[in-house]
Amino acid sequence: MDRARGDFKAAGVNLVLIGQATPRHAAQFRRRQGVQVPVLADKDRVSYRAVGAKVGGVTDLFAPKVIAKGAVTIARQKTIQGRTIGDANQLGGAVVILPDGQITWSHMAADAGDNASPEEILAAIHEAAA
Amino acid sequence: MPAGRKPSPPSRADELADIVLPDQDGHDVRLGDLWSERPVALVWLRHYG
Repeated sequence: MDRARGDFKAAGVNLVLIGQATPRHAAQFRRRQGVQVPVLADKDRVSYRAVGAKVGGVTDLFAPKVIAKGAVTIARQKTIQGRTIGDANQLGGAVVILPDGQITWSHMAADAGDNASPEEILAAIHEAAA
Repeated sequence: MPAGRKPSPPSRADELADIVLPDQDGHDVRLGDLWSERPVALVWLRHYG
């Protein structure tokens, strides 16, 4: 996601990541992954609940199709998942919010392998601006 | 929520707006300030890794 930060900036959109755990973990994540966009720390997962992010069950985390998608991601991004911090069942997601507070686009994960790509988010941004 | 079911976020970010979270440097950030002047793409990570 961070690799596309220039595209987000060119589109006039702030890109901000939110993760579980503490600011120290967020700083370590940025350093280890070479991430330059801001990373907020939501140890209590307040924002996860507010946006309606799913807490997955066993099938959402370990179904064969989920594992296969994870393998594809690892191969494509050439990164390996680090140690899980926080609730391993907590899934993520992405939204685009306009200055008036309207959520114009969202992709909330249905399972552990269901992640929006930067291209999908950017396409939604361009569509909202059209 | 049943397996494989995709959750739906709210249509507005009013509840998110007043949430305050620390950034990687420990500075508090009010989420609503992130989209007060320009759109924002917020991405919730499943894990740091």
